[in-house]
Amino acid sequence: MPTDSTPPLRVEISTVGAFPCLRPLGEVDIASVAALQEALSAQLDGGQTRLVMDFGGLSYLDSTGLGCITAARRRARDAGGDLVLVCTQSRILRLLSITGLNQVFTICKTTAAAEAALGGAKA
Amino acid sequence: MNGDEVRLSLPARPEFVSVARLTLSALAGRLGFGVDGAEDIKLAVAEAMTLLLRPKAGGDSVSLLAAWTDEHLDIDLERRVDDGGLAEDDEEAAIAQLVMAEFMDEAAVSGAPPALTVRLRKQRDSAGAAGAHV
Repeated sequence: MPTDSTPPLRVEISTVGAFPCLRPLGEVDIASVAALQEALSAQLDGGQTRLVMDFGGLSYLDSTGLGCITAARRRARDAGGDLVLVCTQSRILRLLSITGLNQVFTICKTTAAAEAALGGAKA
Repeated sequence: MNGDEVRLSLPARPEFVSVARLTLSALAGRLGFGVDGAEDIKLAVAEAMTLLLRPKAGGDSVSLLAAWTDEHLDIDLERRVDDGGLAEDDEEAAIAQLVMAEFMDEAAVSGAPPALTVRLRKQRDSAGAAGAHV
C-alpha cells in the first residue's frame, strides 16, 4: 500500500535587506511543521539571528506552527536577535491575538517594515 | 433530522489530521454553517486531533463522532492513552485549548485514563446556520 501523502510545506528563503526572510508556502500543521522547524534551525545554526518570517503564502497555521515560531523567536532572542513576522491575513492575526502572541511578536504588514523593525533600512 | 451522525475512525498519525479537518469542514458546510463558521469548526477539529496525538503512548486510532440537532453540532474525539494525558507545561497543548475555546461555543478536554477526549460544540444559529437543509 502506498504511503500517505500530504502536500509538503515548502519554505522559500530570500533576503530582506541584510536579513534572511523565510516564506512558508502551504499549510503548517502537525504533519508538516518539521519543514518549518528545519528551515528555521538551519538559519539559526548558521548564525543568522535576525530573521523575517513572511506568512503571505500560508493557507493554514495551527498550534504546532505557533509553537515552532515561538521557540525559534526565543532562540533568536537568546542570541541577541529577533524573529519578526509579516502577516496581513485576518485569520492568522486572530490566532496570534487569541493566544496573546501578538503581544510577543513584532508583526508587520510588509517585509520592508519587518526589515526596519530588525534595525535595517527605514520602512 | 435529529439523531443523524457521522463517525470516523482515523489512524492516530499526523497526516490524518487534515482528513478530520476537511471532513468536518464539508459537514459544516452541509449543515449550513457559513464560511466563517465552517472555518472555525475546521480549525477547532484540527487542534483537537492534534492534541490527541501529543501523548507518545496511546492507541493507534482516534475516534470522531459528529452529531447534530437543529440547535447545535457536537463533535467528540477520543483516543485511548496509556498515561492519561498531557504534560502541564505543554505550551502547544495550551495554545490548542485556547484556539478551540475561541472558535467553538464549548470546548472541553478530559485526560482521565484510559482515554483522552475532546468535546466540542458549536451552536448552529451562532454561525449563520439557520435555515440549514440538513
